[in-house]
Amino acid sequence: MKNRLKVLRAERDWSQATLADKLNVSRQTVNALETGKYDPSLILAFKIATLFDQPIEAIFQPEKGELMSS
Amino acid sequence: MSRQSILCARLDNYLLCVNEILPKGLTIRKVYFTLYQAYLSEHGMSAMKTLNKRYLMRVIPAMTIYLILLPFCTGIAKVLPAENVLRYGIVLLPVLPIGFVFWAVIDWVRGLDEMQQRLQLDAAVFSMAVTGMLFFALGLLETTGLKTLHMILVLPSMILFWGFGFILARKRYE
Repeated sequence: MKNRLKVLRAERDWSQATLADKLNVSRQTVNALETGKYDPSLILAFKIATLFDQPIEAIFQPEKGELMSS
Repeated sequence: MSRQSILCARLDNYLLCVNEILPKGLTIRKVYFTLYQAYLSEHGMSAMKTLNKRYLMRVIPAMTIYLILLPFCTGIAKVLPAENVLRYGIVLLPVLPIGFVFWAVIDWVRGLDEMQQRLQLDAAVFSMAVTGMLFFALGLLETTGLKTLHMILVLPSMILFWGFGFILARKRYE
């Protein structure tokens, strides 16, 4: 899953630690989210969407083939 | 509103009320104010920092008690006569602070965010698998008469492999 978290955070001039505090997660989790190493749960995705005041699909987009059934 | 938020709001109100009641210039008021400032700085800390701090505040005293009890209890149990049943109770006393440490660990893991919980789960499964296989293999070797590791080493090896498992799990998300 790719996402625009890093861009959205940079637009607000927030550090990873600031975003982590706002989401009530660790800084390592924010880093893993930004680099696409970790996909958030639905509830965390909603929290992120609410924080940035954007719909979930405007922040998170599945990679090519991720939605294809195996 | 979560239970924690309600409790924090109540504590806030309580502290403000106490502050109003105490006469100005009184030393206790100054003491109270210092405590209130400390409470506010704690309250303003990020949830993760507060969680880690609470965990350390529980684990450090418990481990200190454990480290004091261990040589003390095993030493007493050795000098007590074999027919004295009290020695069994005394030698098991260090299990109590370790139980408290495990309770603190469980409470800490419950407070972690979802990715950190996943890392801890990976680490715990790794630790369980490696320790289980290691001591199962040693148990099989003992059936041949070979003297292997003491059972008391199960817990330290679990903790060691938990840490190692956590490092491995974390690498996947770096």
